[in-house]
Amino acid sequence: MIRDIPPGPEEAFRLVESIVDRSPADETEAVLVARRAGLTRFASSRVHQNVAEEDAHLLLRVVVGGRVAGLRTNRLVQADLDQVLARAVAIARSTPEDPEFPGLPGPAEGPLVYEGSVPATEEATPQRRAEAVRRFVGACGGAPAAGALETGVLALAVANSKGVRAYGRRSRASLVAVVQEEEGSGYVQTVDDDLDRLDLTSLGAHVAARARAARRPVDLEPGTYPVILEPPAVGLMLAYLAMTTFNGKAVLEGRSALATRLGQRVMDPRVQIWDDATDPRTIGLPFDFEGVPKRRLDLVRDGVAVGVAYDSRTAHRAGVPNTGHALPQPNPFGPMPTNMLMAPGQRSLEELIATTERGILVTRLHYVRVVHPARTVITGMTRDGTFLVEDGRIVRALRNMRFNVSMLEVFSAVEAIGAEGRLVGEELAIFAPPVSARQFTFTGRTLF
Amino acid sequence: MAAGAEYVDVRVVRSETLSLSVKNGRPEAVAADDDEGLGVRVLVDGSWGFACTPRPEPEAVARAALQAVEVARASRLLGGPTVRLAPQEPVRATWTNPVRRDPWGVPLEEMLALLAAATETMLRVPGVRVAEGFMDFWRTTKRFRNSEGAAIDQTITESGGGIAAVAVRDGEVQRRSYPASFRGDFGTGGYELVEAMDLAGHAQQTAEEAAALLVAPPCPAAVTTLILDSDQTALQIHESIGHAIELDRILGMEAAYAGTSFITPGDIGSLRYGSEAMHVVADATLPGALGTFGFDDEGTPAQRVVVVESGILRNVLTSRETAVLLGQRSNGTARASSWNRIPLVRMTNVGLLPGSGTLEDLLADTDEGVLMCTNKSWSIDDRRLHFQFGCEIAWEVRRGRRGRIFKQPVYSGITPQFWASLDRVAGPSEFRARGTPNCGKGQPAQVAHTGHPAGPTRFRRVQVGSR
Repeated sequence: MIRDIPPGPEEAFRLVESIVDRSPADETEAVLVARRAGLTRFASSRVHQNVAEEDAHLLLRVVVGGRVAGLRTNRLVQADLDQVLARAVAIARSTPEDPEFPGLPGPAEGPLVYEGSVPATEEATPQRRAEAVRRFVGACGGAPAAGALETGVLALAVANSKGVRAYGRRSRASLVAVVQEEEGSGYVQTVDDDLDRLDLTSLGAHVAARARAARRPVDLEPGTYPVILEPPAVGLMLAYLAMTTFNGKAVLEGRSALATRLGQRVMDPRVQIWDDATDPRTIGLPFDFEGVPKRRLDLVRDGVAVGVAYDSRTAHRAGVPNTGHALPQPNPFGPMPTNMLMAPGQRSLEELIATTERGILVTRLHYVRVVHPARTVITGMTRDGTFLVEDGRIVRALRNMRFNVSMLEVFSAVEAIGAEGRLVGEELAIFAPPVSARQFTFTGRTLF
Repeated sequence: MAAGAEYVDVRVVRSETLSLSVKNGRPEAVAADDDEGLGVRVLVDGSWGFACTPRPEPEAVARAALQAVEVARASRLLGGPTVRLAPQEPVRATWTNPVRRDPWGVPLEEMLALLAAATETMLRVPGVRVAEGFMDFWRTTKRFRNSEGAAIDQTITESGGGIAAVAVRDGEVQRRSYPASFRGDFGTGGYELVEAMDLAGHAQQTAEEAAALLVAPPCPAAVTTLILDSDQTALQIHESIGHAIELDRILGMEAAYAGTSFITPGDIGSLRYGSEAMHVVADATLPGALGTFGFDDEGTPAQRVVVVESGILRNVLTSRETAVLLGQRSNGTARASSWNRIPLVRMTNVGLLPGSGTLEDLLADTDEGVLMCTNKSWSIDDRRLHFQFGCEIAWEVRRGRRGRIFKQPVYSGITPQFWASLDRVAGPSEFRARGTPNCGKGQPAQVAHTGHPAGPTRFRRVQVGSR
């Protein structure tokens, strides 16, 4: 049904439009998600897993007499698309009417076509990935490294019976790695749409130095301490806020902390957080899975909660404009921002450390889970580099510690925001600076 | 093979799913999925390569095979030890699990009506703002062939569901689920598994407990006796035993992502994992459990493996590639989530062996402590040592009886110390094989379905509290 994976805009539109055109349903939405990727995984500085994949699947949503059903298939060659449509319609007819379904969104403008891909990254060969891994491992100075280098491309095409047409295509290259030195470890995570822009040599040297500094960790009594959170730690907290707090459905259902606090100060007045898939510091597509264009969405302005993400369903229910943050439909999880940015400050990470009398430097957070969504309480462990800072310098490595914190309280207790923001996030693409906060509660410690 | 591979395996996998979400009596998401493709894994000069395609045309399949060889050749660039595979006699077989009522033969109207009725019952309870009901069904057809002559066809049907009530008042939000949280409980089998849950019959109590939690006090901080229900015991097993005994983690192959393990290869056979009351098996042959299959995705037959015997670690979970490093044969746990993923060492049905008595017997035998039920949050460090788990609800236990309920209960510990404090496991009448359909691992990410036979358990001197 399609020649190339991922297809170009013409071929993709031909497929999704043909489905919409032949659909017997009252309303029809066809979304093509096509992906080609390669991932080279290494452990003990050797490649141990190496994979290439391609897939193209169709997400079909049909509405018949106010009844809605979704059908996903990648059997674009085997299956007769008329049969696929007939099955979706049959499922819809078997469901009760959905009184909260507002109808599919209409077009906000003409067909939207976005091609922000770097061809050399899309087409990176296994050989090129292996050479990149070798460069990174070589820069680690002999310390054992484990990680994954991934390159690939994602294309998304949306058409619906109300005239929405959108196509977008983005490449992505990422490296995630842990370097081990005796009992210490260091961590690096970097992502870009261009493999050539990943500075693997300097990243390798940096993470190896961090791993050396993390050797011989000692215990620290759990308690509430000032912290300096590096971008991967800040980015993960922002990701959890995206899922639980800036989610329009969670707000409507009273599960979000912002259900009763929109318009109120919820963070330090220096904190600015927004979502903007078109910002060059993140990697995104300028429309969502319903084909609705995305624009900058302010979430926290001067510490005040000013916005949350909506899709067509939740926006209709809330009586507010759709912000274009639909995930693949139908979706009981609700909408969420996927390209968040937090405004950097003025000081370097070194200055954040230098101005800390006594505190803990946290490289990353591990196994974070939500404990109380309405209070934004999360728990998790520190990992791959936890350090005690005294009198403005790192004095020793610490064994990893468990934390239980309210994310809104941490962002309310901001001491300073670092200048060096980084794009982080393995699923979402979040631009996060380092942040120092006056209090962060550690409730336990582990044995390493 | 003509391109230079010394080993090849091919999997053609078709996965059909049906997922129903009902909220407050109305369908919120009704979705079906039909996914098919082919994955080729090759060993060339001792290095792995893998490629895949959703296309059935012979040219696409040939292209994937050649691409897998190209990928494998690139793997050699960094050198390192060559991969060897533990021997495995090639099997030619078919396998399917019993299904009494095919979910795809059940009218959608019937399923949605059941969920609508259960959620409407919950919504009538004052304080409940959101009432949810879920069902999920998977049918996976796998064809496996390898260059050693194996030819295995399997069809696995999995089913399950659950309900949840969310009570909201004055900024407080409390959730209660049945029979388990995160969309319910699951197993291998058909719609009969959902029917046996009696979701509608449990809706009232589920909702009343959610509403009661709104005004319940938090669980007081203490070091005390902790009793876990079978659902939370299953989660405890999954996180602090199941992942820790995966040999690929033990060998550092997951170091950058999921992490490693506190276990070393030298610990096998001697490590004291827990108390004398602790007996753990990994049993992929257990009828009806979610981690049950006929053969793993390397063609190794499903097995029952003793993991912990009277508190001593005896065996870990292995694949052909990892087992050979211990001088062993694979115990059949290499599983891939789909046609486009490679097999990894995954849990099967990792669970406790039953002790004696019922939950009520455990309570009656406890002078003072806390009973915690139904997982709510889970977090553990990257070597599977320090954990903190939260539950939906707790009951105070005093002089052998349940007392007040507590909200937001959590407990924490260090894995071997915690299991060393296990002093009693309930008997077979309380045992269930809880299904976990959301076990994440690997890069690219994979989600596995695992099962955990468990009953209520009692642990002494545990740090409990509230978050």
